[in-house]
Amino acid sequence: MEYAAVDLPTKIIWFKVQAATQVPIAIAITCFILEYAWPGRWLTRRNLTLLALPGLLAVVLILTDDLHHLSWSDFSFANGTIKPQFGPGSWFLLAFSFGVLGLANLVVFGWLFWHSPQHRWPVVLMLLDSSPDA
Amino acid sequence: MTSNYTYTPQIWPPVLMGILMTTLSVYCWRRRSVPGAIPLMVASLLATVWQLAP
Repeated sequence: MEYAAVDLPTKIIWFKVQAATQVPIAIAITCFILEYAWPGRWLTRRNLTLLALPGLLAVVLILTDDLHHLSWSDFSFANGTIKPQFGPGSWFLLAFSFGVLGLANLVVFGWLFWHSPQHRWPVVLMLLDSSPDA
Repeated sequence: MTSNYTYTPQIWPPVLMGILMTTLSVYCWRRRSVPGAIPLMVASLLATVWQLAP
């Protein structure tokens, strides 16, 4: 929809819609991994609430960005794409998303490592490859 | 009345991925008794919106 939009305000709306879904997606993937790896152990009602709160915060922060500009201070348009200038809220949400996805990665690899001894070396190699500076 | 949208071939990859994600969420809903199926359904529904937005 952002590609098909003609004017900048419409492109910005779709950019914000996409951004608003990123943290909830990261949380949902983490919930899926926790529930799939150990059904009923980690994804308790309390943990689900604690995980969902940053997702709600992200959606509220992004949808009300015009009031406080905590997520993006400004938008520019170059070569057909929007170039946002990140604010402190965006950096926090980015760090949170990478944090929960990193945790999910560790859970998956930890699960594979302990439950499939024959796959330990492939797991170690994949972990090394998925490290941020790899 | 003028439209705010115009046709571009760039929309097709996101549309195809959106259809794929919707199909995956329907598949998960039909097997919702399996551990992890509901979070995966939520993730794929959100991914549908994420795919269709750009």
